[in-house]
Amino acid sequence: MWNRVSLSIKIAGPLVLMEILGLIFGGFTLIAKIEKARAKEMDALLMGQADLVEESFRFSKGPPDFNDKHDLFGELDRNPKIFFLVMNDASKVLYVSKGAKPAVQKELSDAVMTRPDRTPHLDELFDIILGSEKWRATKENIEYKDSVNNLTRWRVYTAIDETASVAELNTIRQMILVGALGLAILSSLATAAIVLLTTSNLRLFAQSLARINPENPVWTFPVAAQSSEEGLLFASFGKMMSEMETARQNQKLFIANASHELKTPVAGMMAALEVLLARERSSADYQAVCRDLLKTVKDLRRLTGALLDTSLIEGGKLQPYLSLPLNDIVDAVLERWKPSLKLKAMDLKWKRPAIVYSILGNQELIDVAISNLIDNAIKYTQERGCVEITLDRAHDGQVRLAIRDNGIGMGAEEREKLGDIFFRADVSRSNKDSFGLGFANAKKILQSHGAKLVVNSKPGKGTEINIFFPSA
Amino acid sequence: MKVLLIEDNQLLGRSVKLGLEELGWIVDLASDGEEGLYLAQNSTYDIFLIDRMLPKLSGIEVIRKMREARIDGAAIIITALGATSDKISGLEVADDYIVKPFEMGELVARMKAVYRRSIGKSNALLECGNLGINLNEQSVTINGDKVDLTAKEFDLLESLATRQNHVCSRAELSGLLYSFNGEPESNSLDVLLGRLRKKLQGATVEIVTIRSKGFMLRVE
Repeated sequence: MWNRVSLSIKIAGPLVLMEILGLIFGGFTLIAKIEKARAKEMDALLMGQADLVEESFRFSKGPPDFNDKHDLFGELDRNPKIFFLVMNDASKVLYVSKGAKPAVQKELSDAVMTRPDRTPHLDELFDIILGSEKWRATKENIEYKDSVNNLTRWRVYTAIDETASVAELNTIRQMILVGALGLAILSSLATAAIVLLTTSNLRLFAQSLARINPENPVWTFPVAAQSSEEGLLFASFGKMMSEMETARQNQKLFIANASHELKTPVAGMMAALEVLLARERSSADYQAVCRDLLKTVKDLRRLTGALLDTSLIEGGKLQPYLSLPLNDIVDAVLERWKPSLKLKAMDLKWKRPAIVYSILGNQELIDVAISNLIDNAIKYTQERGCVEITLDRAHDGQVRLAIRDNGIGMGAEEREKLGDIFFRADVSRSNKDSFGLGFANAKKILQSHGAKLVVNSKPGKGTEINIFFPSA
Repeated sequence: MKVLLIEDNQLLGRSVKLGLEELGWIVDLASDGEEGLYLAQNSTYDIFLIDRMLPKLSGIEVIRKMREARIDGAAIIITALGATSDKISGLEVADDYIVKPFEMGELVARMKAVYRRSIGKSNALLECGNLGINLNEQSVTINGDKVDLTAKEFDLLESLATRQNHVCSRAELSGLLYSFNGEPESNSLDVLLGRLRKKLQGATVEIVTIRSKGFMLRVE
């Protein structure tokens, strides 16, 4: 399921979630800090008011005269947002401020008077909730000595109305939450936009892949890469497509050539037989056609054998390698080619070395490779020409097998194509015994054995093929 | 009918040549693209039968170069490549496409059909006045009565009839009647024309000589 989710969602989802969580955490932390600061400020204000009340009582050594309207204490006494109540040790109320509304005054008085004093000797802070109003209150103990030096103890309850402050705090809280929500939406949209933009080329890439026609797999990316990673991806894919196209073209060429080489002789045989049977012929005519058919069938047998070699080599079905004495293999191959050499009255120069040069390899395949190269040397050399074979050790210790002929040779362009399947050194194809598979197969076999081929050739002068085998 | 066959496989080339010649056609055989193009440029043919994968110059290239040189004549590609894409690319330059291996009967039938198309006929019967020429049977009638013609006389009549109201030069007629290497006697065309004119007496057509230009079959 997860694997089918879009990459944009996979990237943007967690990012947006983290942003929202961060904003929630930040918002609540900010609200908590503001609340704490506000409470501290209110407590400080409350303590200040309480100190004023206490001072006024201490200064007056009893309840002061709050009737003086211009007096600071009078203002305190008349402030509707401030309430204070003073009682003595015996819990007798000595004074209650007059600023708060009577109903509130009564409720606050009841609240403080009925409140159990759990810390008789300590000051304390506490909240009083009256319906929708919230008051913050403090209890302070006052001690002083009167004129006759009697110790008098009072308890002073001071409260300030925090309702407006709480409402203001709620407003701030709402604003922060709305702000956080807005930020979350904006940052989510921005994140989604960035992710969509960043992955847009990937989507285009995937769509361009879906449009590739298997019959004609051409791929070009319509836009430029937006990052080094994209550049690497597109360049790598382009290179792969190019290599695949080359392989496809080679395969197509191989099929075209193989079809031509296989179907044309069959067409020739069919036509020959149809024409032959169309009317009465002389015995000589029948014999001539039979000879042609036999030659064509032999050619087809050679071609199918060579194609089988090609498929085996291409398929990499190689047997385990053994130590092979090259001297013996060359001897065996030459033995098979002697009739052909004799038929063309060619001179063979081969002096079997006294030292045995061994290589690691598959005997059957090495035999095929050397045989193909000697076959080419014979095929592309005129009658009474010469084929020379030497086997020795090169300066770097590698075993060297050289096959030289003084045949038609090749130019640089033909040497370049040597090894391509169905390429023939004789591009005019006047040599009908060649299919253009022998050298290609030999090259593949030898290269799979770690051998290196060096070809020297000049048109009209001949060809020299040096094979350097790693020592066994 | 004169055919140029370009095929590098000796057995196929020789066999098809022999088979077509035994039908009374004149066939020149070339074994590579360059030789085929040379023959096409230096002789006259009714049909070109060309292998697609040829040494030196591919069959497609041969046809392209022939068309560039304004060489007329229907072209048929014979090839081992039978994929649809190969057929499409082949038919872009050629008039027909035959995949190897083929049967001689099919090849001949296609060649006849392509030839008929090339001379603008939907059937094998050519009618010129009261003269009827059956291209398939290679027979000629005047008012429905059969006229005995030799193969060469038929070829000459066919060449002129398929080019009605068109002056055929001596060289063009020689090119159509004889193989590239089969050089005719200097007056053999005149002898042949004389014999044909005599056999066509009673027909409402006349082989007229256009001085210093050639010959033309005219319906009276």
